[in-house]
Amino acid sequence: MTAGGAPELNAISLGGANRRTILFVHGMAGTAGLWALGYAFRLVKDYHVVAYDQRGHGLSPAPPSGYRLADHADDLERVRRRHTDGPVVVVGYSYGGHIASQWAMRYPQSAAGLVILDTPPLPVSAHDIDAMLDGVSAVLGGDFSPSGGFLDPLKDSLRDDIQRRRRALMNVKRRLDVLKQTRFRQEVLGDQPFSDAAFQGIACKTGLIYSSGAGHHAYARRQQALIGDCALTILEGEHDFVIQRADAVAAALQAFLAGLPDEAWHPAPAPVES
Amino acid sequence: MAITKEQAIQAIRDAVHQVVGEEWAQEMTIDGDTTLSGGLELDSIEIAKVIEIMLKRFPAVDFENWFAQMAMERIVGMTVGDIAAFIAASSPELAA
Repeated sequence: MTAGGAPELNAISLGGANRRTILFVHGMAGTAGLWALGYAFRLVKDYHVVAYDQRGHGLSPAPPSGYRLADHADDLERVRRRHTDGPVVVVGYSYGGHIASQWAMRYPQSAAGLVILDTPPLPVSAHDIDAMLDGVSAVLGGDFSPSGGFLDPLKDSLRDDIQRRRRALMNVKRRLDVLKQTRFRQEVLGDQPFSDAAFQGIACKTGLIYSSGAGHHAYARRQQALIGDCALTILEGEHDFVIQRADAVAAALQAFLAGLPDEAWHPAPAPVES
Repeated sequence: MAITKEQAIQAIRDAVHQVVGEEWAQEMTIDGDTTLSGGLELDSIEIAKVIEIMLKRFPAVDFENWFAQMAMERIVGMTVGDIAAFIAASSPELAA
């Protein structure tokens, strides 16, 4: 735990800390692994890249509460401060996009830019959360019938390979069982959609990168209309395009980074007190 | 200081033990032919953690540029021997 009582979150930091920092936020039930292995090494030549595990995920501790978006945004800001003094670009995938947006709303002075990858609208459905929390147990027992956004790609990867991947699956189940002992479910379901005014409060340049197949385009266009400096890119693929089409997603991300003005990376001057 | 491939394999073994814990590690046989994902069944965050430990353990080895050439499937599919050979080859005076 930190001195303030917040959990010390697991983070992978690659590249020199003297470079501009990009911070990745994974999706629900995800980990920093995909971002560290699939994206960070593409960027470390030019950037300092940090990917962290949210509370209750990956190798981070799972405190009993603190799973609202505002809590996650505060965690994200603590991770930023641990790794850099300056503004960062935050890249949030799926549910992680909500955390990234909430962070940009709460900490505008810390945001050099924001990239939202295929984030569906809020609220999260109880069905999706339950499929995630309970479905792995069924799959471990050989029952592939439960379905849900998180479970479907997991099942596809395990269907022909369940015995060989048993430890990996047990690992996921162990982590989800720990999460089930917390207030994660109640608090995620309690988060309300962002208002128009909240989106209008995002001051940094924002890139929306959405898949053609996941069906969240109406939500993407709402964000595009409300956020001041915002561009939408749609790439062929489904919600797992961050894995299946990593080259294309990385290219879109690099195009966004290349388009950021230098001044975005400089801290805003502190307000002058009268 | 020169690093042999066997010394590098031992360093990877130590890193894996550190990441997965002794309970799992006792069941694992880790040699040069073992793959990170298939053989050790490490998931992506565990592999990333092992790599991060190796980056700190061998700061003179240019892992970042090496991994930058690879897709994620290639990274997770690497053998312990692949990584150890790279460390040894990057060592200034490769020992026999």
